[in-house]
Amino acid sequence: MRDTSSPHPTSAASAGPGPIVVLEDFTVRYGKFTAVDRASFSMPPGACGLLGQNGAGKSSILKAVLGLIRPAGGTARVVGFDAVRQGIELRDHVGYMPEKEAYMPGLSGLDSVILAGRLSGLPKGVAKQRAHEVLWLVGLDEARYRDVAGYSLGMKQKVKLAMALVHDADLLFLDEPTNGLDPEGRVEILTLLKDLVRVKKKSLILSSHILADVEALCEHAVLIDHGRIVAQGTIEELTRGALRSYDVRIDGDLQAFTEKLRSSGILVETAAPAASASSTDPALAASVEVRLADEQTTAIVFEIARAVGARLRRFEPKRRTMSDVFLETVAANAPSGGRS
Amino acid sequence: MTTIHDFGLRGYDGDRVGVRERILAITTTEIRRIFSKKMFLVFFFLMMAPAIMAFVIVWIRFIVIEGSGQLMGFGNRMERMAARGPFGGSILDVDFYFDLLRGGGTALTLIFSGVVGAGIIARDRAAGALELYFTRGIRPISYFLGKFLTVWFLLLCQVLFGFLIVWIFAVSVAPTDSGYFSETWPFIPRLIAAQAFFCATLAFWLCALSTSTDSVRFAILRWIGVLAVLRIVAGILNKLFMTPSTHLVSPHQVVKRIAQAIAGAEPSDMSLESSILVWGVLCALALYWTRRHLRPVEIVG
Repeated sequence: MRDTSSPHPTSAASAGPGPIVVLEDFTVRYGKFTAVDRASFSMPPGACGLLGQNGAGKSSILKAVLGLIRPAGGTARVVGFDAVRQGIELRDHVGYMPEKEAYMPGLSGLDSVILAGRLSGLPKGVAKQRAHEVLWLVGLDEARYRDVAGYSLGMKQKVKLAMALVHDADLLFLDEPTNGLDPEGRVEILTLLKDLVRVKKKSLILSSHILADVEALCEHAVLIDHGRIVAQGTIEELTRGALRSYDVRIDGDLQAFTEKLRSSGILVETAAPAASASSTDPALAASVEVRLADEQTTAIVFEIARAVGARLRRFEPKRRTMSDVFLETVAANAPSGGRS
Repeated sequence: MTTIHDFGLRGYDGDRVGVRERILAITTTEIRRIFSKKMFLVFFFLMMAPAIMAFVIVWIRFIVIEGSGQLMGFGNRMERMAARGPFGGSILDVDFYFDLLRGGGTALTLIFSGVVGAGIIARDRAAGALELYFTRGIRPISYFLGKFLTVWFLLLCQVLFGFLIVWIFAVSVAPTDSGYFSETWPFIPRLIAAQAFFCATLAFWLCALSTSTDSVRFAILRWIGVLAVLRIVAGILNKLFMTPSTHLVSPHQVVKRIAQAIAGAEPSDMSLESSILVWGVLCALALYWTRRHLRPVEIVG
């Protein structure tokens, strides 16, 4: 049998700030169906979100990152390993936390994590010691000696995270880590992940439908749609507005201000009528979103406010959320006549 | 919320162990899990009934009736050992050890194998554990081997260890002039090989069948049911066509026939060559079945 105790090749995670995942023209086909179409992206160390609708190709990317798939074309390099040729070695240095409920039946939390460590090549004694440490880290104290089948969902998530961490993974792949958790459990897991990234300098890829989680945790994101990478970059770059949109709040006659803006050819969006009517927040009631065309300067908004006798209380460039980015990108890349 | 402490997530720069240690990790963890259940221990000792009965037979023949053989109708020690009792034949014969309790041993082995082995991978599938295994540094074949070794070991515990204990006990209490050791020793290695083959085949088929379901109960019922039904079908066909080759329908009969040949036990009336052929086809099918149902690409993600 083959010995997988070969020395760790140059690992991006430990070697420096180079990309931790690099896919180049990566193509995956199942029969005639192309699941991933010449995907190219590189992910620097840190936290990266992987976003896409169901069936967009996220799972295929995940399998590529784990070295479980033989591509029809292209290359994938993950933490310094060739994911196609060195899948086994790669998985010794990558941690994976599945979305679905998954546990080792009949084993305690401790035994599950020990087994996970040993399967990743840790000697028995080391696996035992590290299992205790990692379970303590994720917040499973005495419960570690109980059968995992009797754990709450949040505790099961913690065991899965401990299993992903125990072998000193350079990169964690987390598939919907907060799925099904109550708000308290979600905050707990997110705080733990933030600590891992920011304090322990771990790298992770987060696949989640909860875009607020991605925004809160990740510095980078990759958007995939119909098997193609449609956007990638830092969260800062992706959420920067394409249009020059501003949040404007005034003290004064909002209706007159709005009409004057529109008559000057400026796009204005007020808060939803129902929301503004029922709102007791005067700030919301007096807020509008103003979109300026390229030739229009911000000075015109100030002039109009002065003209209607209103005082500007707030004038801020509006940022898009990841949700906006996701929906706009998917809509822009939808095939004609297809989904929008 | 627990905060991160420095000792909570240390790096690991040491060597990683090889494939063999990883397979053994699966096997030892699984065996420890199974033997930690009290219900299993009770069941295990129930399934050891043939060995216990053989133990009693040896004890009676060597110790209880020692010196009073005339009362039991036996002339001397060799006659007593060679005598056929109600639960088994001569304790000098390979058949006595090959199939304790005249077939009762094999029947219990089949039940035992179903209970301990039929659900071994089904249980992992139901709990989503396959995804956890296949995203580690092992191949599906290593995972399968780990489970196979577990079932093989448990079956050997039930079949081989029981008879070996009986034999060792008999050697230790047999009168030195009886020739018990010299009569039985020649067939013991072949008997061990036969039982190991029999258990390995059952373990392989069990694990292969277990890959395709996530219901442990269904897996057990399917194993015991299919073997029992095929055995009955083979019996019916035999009565109808009056030919021993109809027993080839029963996988259990097939593997037992080959084991008989290895042990040098009294063979059943099936053809050995045909049995080996059927065995080969069944193993090839089991291998195909395993490969089809243990694909990481379909299980992960």
